[in-house]
Amino acid sequence: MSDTLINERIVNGLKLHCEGDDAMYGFLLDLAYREAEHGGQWRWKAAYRQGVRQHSAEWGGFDED
Amino acid sequence: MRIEKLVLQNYRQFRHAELDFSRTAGNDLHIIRGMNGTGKTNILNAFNWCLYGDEPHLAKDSQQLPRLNLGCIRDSDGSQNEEVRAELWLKTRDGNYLVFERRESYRVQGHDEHPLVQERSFEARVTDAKGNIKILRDEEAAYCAERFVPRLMREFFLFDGERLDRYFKEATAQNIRHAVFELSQIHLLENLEQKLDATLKDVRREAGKASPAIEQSRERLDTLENRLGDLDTQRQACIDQVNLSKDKIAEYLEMLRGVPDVATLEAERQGLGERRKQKEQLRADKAAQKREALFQSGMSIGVWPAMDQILQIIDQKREDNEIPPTVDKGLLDSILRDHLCRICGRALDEESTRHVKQLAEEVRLSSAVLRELVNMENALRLRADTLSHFDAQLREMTSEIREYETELDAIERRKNEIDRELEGYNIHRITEWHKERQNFENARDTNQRKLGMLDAQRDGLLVQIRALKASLDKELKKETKLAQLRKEIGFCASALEVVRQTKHSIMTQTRREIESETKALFMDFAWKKETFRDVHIDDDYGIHLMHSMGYDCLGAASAAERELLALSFTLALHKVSGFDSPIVIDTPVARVSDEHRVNFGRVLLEVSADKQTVLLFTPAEYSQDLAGVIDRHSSNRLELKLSSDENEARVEVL
Repeated sequence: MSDTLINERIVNGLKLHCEGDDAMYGFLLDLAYREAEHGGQWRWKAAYRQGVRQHSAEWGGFDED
Repeated sequence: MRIEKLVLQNYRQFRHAELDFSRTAGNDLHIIRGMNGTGKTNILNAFNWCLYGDEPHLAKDSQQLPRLNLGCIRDSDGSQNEEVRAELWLKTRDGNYLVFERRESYRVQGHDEHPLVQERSFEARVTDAKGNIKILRDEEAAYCAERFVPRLMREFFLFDGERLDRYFKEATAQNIRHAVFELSQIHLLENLEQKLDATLKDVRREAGKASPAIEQSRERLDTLENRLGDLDTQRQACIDQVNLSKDKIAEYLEMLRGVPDVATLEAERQGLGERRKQKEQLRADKAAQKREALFQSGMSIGVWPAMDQILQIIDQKREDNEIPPTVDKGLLDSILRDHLCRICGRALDEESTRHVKQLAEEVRLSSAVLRELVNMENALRLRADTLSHFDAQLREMTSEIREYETELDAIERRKNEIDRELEGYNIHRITEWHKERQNFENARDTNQRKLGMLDAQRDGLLVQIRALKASLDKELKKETKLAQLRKEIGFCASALEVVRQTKHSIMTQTRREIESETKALFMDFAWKKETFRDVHIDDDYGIHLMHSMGYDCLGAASAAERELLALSFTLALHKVSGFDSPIVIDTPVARVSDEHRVNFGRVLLEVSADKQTVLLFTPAEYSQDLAGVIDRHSSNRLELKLSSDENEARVEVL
């Protein structure tokens, strides 16, 4: 029996491809859990937009030029 | 996790049934035997209904019937609701008990009418090692069932044995890709991808409101990205079609294995018929020519001595200088008769008369005859020449006629061979198979060409999109007030890229793990270990069973070997997924030939050493040989029996 809603591969895969970018990893993991929890229809638009706004503020991987 | 028991009340054929799945022997193997109609498949449906609330294996005749037992409907007086109930008792590895219970209560209005559902409930009771009980209801209970076997993956745990036979025959690549998707929760990443993409577009749209230049680049980018999405959809459809065609070609090749190529043989037979007609005509023409030659030359042969004598006379006369004629004997006779020279008109004197007489005596044939001889000479010599070659010509014509006859014999022999080769085959059906195979080969080639074109278009589009993104970023940089939005766009695009990379790497990793596990299990289970060398799942999810000689032999594998590969693949999925749940197979060896049933039985026995295995057999499947192999190792052997009115099935322990 699985103890978690999200496959371990997804958690590890996201972490690996975020390459130490904690803001990005936190953002994607949060969304992945929300997707797994909701399954069907949910008010995702606001949640995604809010997530982008919030996590991008602390995001370092951006060329400011 | 193990299934301890299944309790059914008023569920379809089962008025009340309790199926015990305790492990009491060396193997966690449980045999349920039952004739058709006794409810074997409904046991499989009961597992599904209890856990997920549906019955995916319902037979057509059962679809017309209510879930509530018919005997219960008959006995009901309608004064109180009747209840359908299924309880599934599970035990986890750490000793906890988990009981799923689904109930539906019905109001029975009349014995001939479908009862109406009044109430539904679903709960999961979790009892820990200390005896604490936690009750979960509806969505929470459903979530608990998902942790036992996810609904989307249940087809790999609770299935009809026929599926094993079909698995590598129909849309194999789609099946494997689907399994990898479900196993890796790729749908979750796809949801993330789609929604992040939509969010990115929204943020760009917000930025577009600030400047017409940004809006223009954004609109163009949207258009190109939509086109890229369409191209990817078309590419996937092409890949699916190519894979489907490959599967179908392999299927037809398997059906046509050892069967003559009827279309080619039929075409050859038709060609032979036409050649025979031509050769017969040529032989008839030559025979007519020979007859004509014999007729013509036959007449000449009859008069040959006379012709030869005439030619000898001509030769002699030529030798005697009589030919060509220089003196006209008639003229000499006339001069002698009239004593008058017909040339100068003078009367003949004595000396002249003597001289003319001498001349006339020397000329023995008349000039007319000599002229006649000269006239006929050419024709006679031509005929003589022809006759001198006639024998050779005759031999040549006879030889040509014999050659035609030899060729006609060869044609007849080949036609007979073809007839023998085709004897006993359904030519129409085989021709159809060949046509179908050809159609699928054409479809595969067409789609492969189309795929090449789509790939080229896609590459071009990606270059344009990259350029446009750079241009959009440049426009955004110009607007300092849009710094935050620009950062959000960059963040969202990077997140999208991470999700795509994660999705790709997980799918590749999962595919490789399944491939490796499938190979290990198949090679372990296979009874002809020397025959097979490798199992390979390619990038497009096509599965290849490699023969020890190095070629792909999946198409040529027997039904039992194919089912063994499907079973190995299914068990590999269990292992890779981490869901250590039991396997329930309805009619597991129905498609396996008698000679391989025992082999397959041994494999199922081996599986049940480590994994709880529930097998539902018909008596015909469960042969004495098979029973001899697995009976003594099984923990439980149950038999389903129908009541005389066929409304109720009961479970008996064997």
